[in-house]
Amino acid sequence: MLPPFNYFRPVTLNEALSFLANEASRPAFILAGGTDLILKMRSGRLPQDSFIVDISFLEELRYLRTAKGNLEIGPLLSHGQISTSREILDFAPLLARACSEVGTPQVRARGTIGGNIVHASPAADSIPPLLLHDARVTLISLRSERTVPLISFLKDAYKSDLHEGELLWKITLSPLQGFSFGYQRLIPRQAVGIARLIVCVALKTKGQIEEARIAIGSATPVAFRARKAEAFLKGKEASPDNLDFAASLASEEMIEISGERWSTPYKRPVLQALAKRALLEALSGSRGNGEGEN
Amino acid sequence: MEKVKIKLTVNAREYELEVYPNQRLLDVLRENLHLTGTKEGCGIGECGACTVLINGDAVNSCLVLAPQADGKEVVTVEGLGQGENLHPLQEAFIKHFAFQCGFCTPGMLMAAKALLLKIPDPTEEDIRKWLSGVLCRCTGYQQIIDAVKEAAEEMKKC
Ligand SMILES: Cc1cc2nc3c(=O)[nH]c(=O)nc-3n(C[C@H](O)[C@H](O)[C@H](O)COP(=O)(O)OP(=O)(O)OC[C@H]3O[C@@H](n4cnc5c(N)ncnc54)[C@H](O)[C@@H]3O)c2cc1C
Ligand code: FES
Ligand code: FES
Repeated sequence: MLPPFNYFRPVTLNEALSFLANEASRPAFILAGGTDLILKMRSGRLPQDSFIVDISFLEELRYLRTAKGNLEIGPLLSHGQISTSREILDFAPLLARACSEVGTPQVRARGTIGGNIVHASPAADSIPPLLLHDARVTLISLRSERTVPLISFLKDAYKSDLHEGELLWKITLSPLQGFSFGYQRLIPRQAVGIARLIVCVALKTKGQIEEARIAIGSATPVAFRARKAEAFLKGKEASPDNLDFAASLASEEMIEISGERWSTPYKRPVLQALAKRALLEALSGSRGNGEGEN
Repeated sequence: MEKVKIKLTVNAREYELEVYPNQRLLDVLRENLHLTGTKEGCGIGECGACTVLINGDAVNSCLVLAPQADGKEVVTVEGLGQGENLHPLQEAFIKHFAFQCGFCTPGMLMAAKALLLKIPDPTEEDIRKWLSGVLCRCTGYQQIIDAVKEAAEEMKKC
């Protein structure tokens, strides 16, 4: 048994939004897959008299579609669904790959991409690949709707910018046509674990590097794009020296954000090595090995 | 805290229940339906002892609110065999002595069942991956993996 709370199950999205619009008069918490929220409920960290708004029955939030060349993902799709979806494997192979790394099969069957984003863990696996696709999130409330870049929706570790009465209802990805991919994820043991470092790379090459995108997760309170390394690589030859230098820039960017810490002597060379590996993997024309993962 | 009416199928039997929202599916299975095969280890999604199937997927029943199981098809370890007849997975676990204390076994069996529903002919790699959500602190995993392999082969025969 969990500590007591009140339970509300909306039948439509509109009903959910109407209920959330009265949030000020009663603390309300959105429940999707529950793999983060139920832990919080269990530890008694929810105010008494809280309402749990169970959106897990809202089929309107479980969709996948393309619009104007972009991919739109409904927040209720589970990590399991995302990692095995043909469309996502084609459009965003690293997102499929990353979701296949989340927790265990049991957690992937329940945990949703919307919950992963709103919970905003520094180690959230779906976020770095979404940053490669310049993802936007659309928040909807009874009276308004706004779309913001994912990177600005993530304010700090475990703090997303969800306003009172709002629900995340769309995640939009831009295409990465003609890119190849690299993916590195460091965990403390061989299988099943929260990532210590995540590096996602997308490269477009034509003789030289036309465009590089590098997203790094789990190293800083909020995942980030290594813009200096990306800018350095643009128009450069993919020589070992250039890759090494880009990888060291990415590592420096991490330290600029998080400052020198007790873990820095470890993380600096490790991130550099992982970034290099991911770049090499992308250069080999890889799709990030998202294929066939569960 | 108001009770919630739910209707669900557990091991092919339909139930209409009134549950408290703060009951987890795990609590309803064990306390309301007295299906105590499903175990609670950690209660936080890490050990997998509470694994059951919901609509064919292995899930941690400690991380599902009972009202979220409304309308769903649940299978627990009690629903694996048929009456006195054990399921090939259960037979293989006994043959390979794939347990000692047995606390993880219901979870292992249900995770393996979910695997065989999706991949009837799994590789060792598949088995390791699909069982990765259940922890065993006694046996060592090799016997368990061997048992699942053999069960898959047995099931292909029938
Ligand atoms: C054992 C275990 C291992 C895990 N391993 C990993 C891992 O390796 N990598 C990883 O990234 N995560 C991991 N997680 C965390 C978790 O599974 C993911 O973050 C998951 O994606 C959360 O989704 P959910 O649907 O379960 O969220 P919920 O728990 O339902 O919700 C999480 C938060 O998001 C809010 N929310 C959910 N949906 C919406 C919405 N549509 N609009 C507005 N707010 C919303 C909720 O109010 C809550 O604050 C693990 C969890 C467990 C228990
Ligand atoms: S009791 Fe549910 S995972 Fe441990
Ligand atoms: S047999 Fe004891 S925990 Fe697995």
